[in-house]
Amino acid sequence: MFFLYLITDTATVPPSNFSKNIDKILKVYFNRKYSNKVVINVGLVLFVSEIVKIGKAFVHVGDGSAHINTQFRVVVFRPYSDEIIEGEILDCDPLKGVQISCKFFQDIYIPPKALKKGTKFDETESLWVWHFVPKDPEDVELDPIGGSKSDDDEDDENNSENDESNQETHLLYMEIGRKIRFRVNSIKFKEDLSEEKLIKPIIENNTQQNKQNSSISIENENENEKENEKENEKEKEQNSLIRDPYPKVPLIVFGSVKEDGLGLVEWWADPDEDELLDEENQDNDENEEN
Amino acid sequence: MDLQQRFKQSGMITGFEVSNLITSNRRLRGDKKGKRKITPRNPLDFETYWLEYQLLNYLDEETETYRTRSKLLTFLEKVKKYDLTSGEIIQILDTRPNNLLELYLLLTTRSREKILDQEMLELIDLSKKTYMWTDEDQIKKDKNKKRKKENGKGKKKKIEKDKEQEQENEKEMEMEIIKDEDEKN
Repeated sequence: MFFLYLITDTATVPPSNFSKNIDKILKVYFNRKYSNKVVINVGLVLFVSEIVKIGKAFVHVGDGSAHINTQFRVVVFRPYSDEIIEGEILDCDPLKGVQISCKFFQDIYIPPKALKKGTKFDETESLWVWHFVPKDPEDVELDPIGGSKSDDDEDDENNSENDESNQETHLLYMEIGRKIRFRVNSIKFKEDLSEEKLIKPIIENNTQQNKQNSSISIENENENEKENEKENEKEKEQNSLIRDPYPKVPLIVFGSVKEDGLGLVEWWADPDEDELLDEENQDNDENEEN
Repeated sequence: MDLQQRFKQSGMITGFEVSNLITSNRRLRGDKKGKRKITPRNPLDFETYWLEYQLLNYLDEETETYRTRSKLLTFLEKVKKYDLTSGEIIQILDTRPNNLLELYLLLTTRSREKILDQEMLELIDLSKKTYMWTDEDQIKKDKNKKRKKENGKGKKKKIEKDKEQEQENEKEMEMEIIKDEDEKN
């Protein structure tokens, strides 16, 4: 999550600071220049840790300030893929998914496809809800990589509806302010923040049918009508294009919560030892009575 | 030279080291000790102070933990036999797993196959010992307090020393005034 980077850069020190400590002045100068700023393909620069090497100071003609070539180390926040991080839930959105904050960095998103199987967006509460259906432990083998497995994976969707009616579904809300644990999938750096690029939506098995229908209708009509239809199709494509829901920010982190053990920390917390002892005592009392 | 070319990666560090760096930077700056939220005198330094404040809040959330450099070094020595990667070790130190499941998430496929369940439980105990407050830590803290009192590093001793110096300075001033009067006469 945190890396050290070595940087070489020149600092301009005005003559009023010549009598002061050089290390302090250079630290202050580079902290003001780099801290809380994203360097593309590197990460979010946090602060200067130490100054390694101070070169000679050069004074140029027409300028009284000294230009010093320095080498210094900097702490950078750059999460890598498959890393596990804990944060707090900031916001829930049906398009963006779940937004997470690490207090000093808040552009972390878990898209809806990367949430657990069975999560749905509750519009009344405006929160994501995991509809958890407990299964028998004999049928299930925990697979930390791909989530829970069952013997018949193909029939899960058909059986889930029957299971929900037979078994109780636990509604686990992803409330705002709660601690969440997630795995980092990817990091994206955005260089151009000015232009908004439109994205084509993913359409499955309907594009071929639409093309056939449009081709049949064009053959039967005149040429003027053909041109008007082409213009209308172009307008429909532009209107159907979806805008990128994520904000225009230089650094975005995408994560996932699909595996066992990920999600809200309280979902996977161990019960207290006192509670375990109470349960054991209750079981022992019941056995004695029987 | 491009900005990205000037950056050379030199290593990965834990959250404990980041918090130590922040406290050392504050000490060098002369900021108040023990205070987390500090307002900068110059508004240009606002971002660095804000970042340091948020990082300390994120890294030191659990106030019941007690981490020292010596404990981390002992942890690193004992972990060598498991042949873990540096990323795994740093994640264990940062996330502090309490369960087998949490540890399982942090490890790679290679180490999952190598390490047995019993060894994983030993790893969890090791990580807890580095972050939990034990009786040995209390004994060490009490010993350090006694040493400071004996050597005179307490606040009361400082105040007494300052008073003695002020009294000496006043005496010197009086002597100088008397000499000046004698010379005039």
